[in-house]
Amino acid sequence: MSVARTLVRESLDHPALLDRVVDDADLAGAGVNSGELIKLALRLEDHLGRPLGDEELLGLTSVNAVAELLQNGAD
Amino acid sequence: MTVDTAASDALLGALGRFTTVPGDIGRYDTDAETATRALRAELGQVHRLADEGLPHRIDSERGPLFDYDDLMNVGMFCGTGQTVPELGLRFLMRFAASSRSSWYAPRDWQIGVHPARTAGGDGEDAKGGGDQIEVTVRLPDLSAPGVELLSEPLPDTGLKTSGYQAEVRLTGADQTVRDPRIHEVWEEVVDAFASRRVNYQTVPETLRADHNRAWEMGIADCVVAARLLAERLRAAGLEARARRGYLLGLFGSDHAWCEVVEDGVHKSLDPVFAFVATVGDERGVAESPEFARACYGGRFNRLLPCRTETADPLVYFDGEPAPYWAMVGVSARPGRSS
Repeated sequence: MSVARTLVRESLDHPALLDRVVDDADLAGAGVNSGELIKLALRLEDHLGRPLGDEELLGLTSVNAVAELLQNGAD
Repeated sequence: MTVDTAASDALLGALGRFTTVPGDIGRYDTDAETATRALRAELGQVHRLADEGLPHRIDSERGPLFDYDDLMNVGMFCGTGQTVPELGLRFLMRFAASSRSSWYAPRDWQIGVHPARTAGGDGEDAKGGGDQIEVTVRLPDLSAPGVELLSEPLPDTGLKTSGYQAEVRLTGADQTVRDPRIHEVWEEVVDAFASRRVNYQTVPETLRADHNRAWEMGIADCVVAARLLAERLRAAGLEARARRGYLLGLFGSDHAWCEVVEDGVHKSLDPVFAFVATVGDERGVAESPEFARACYGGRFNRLLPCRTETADPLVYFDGEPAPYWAMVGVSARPGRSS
């Protein structure tokens, strides 16, 4: 499993939800709630070792978007 | 550090730092397991809260049951910086640290309003419609300045059953207020927060409906402050209304503010944003005097007003204001053209 998918899974109250979500699907549209998005953002900040900017937070919409942030955001 | 790995007393620091919901209006229906998710805590930490005096009722099968608003305040005041309420505020307010021009430029948003029907549930509950609760949601005010609907038309009513999705373009306005009468009332309210005469905390909807009682108790949230400010401005002879809608960002959050008419223009007054930007780091939000000043008249491109002039609730269950947790099913993301 990709790092991005693992981080998303670890943020969910019901991790099995992710089994039904493909990488480019909209997380909120798939049923990921605001509390889970908050936890995802925090895990990403911990992983990257820096705060996310406002535009980066707005971009956390899919597993692919998380992967892209991980790839480009480690500075 | 996360609360999960912190000491068992990590949440106790919140007790005494906020006013618990009066017993006559408390809804003690949130179990400890739900509380652990909202607070990112372990079960033992939540049970310690009950042991140390957080109001609760004991259910023979479910154990201690708490008022959800009290739990949100525990999260907001425990000082760990790691609970969902603290993190939510921090992430939603991060835009205040962006450039001034970014607060006002046209910005497209997709919003999905599918309220959760169970504490700890998700928006899928509402979309599936598998239970018996009738959900009613308040629709965006498309006649408001700076609001443009980009998607299919919404019903021309204030309320709609179930939920909705929409794409909107929000355009802010960089403006301020000159009238000294407005300034006097504004200072009264903001100073009450800043001096801690009034504690900024979550207030249950039942108490919001009696905003003067809440203010006299020394507690207020955005709804209480918006209603009080509008009432005082009207008493001073000005045209003012209490607005309520969504603060859009990582997700959509229920928020209220005030609007006053000056020079024929509705100008926003947001005492809670101004206070939060003034106190800065207390909850992990960057201090920004420039942003605090912008809350006095400026309109931000991520506040979507709904159709109410008295800051009425955005979601109802069976005709009654929905619990705070229903809002976890409100999503926001940049629009397709952004």
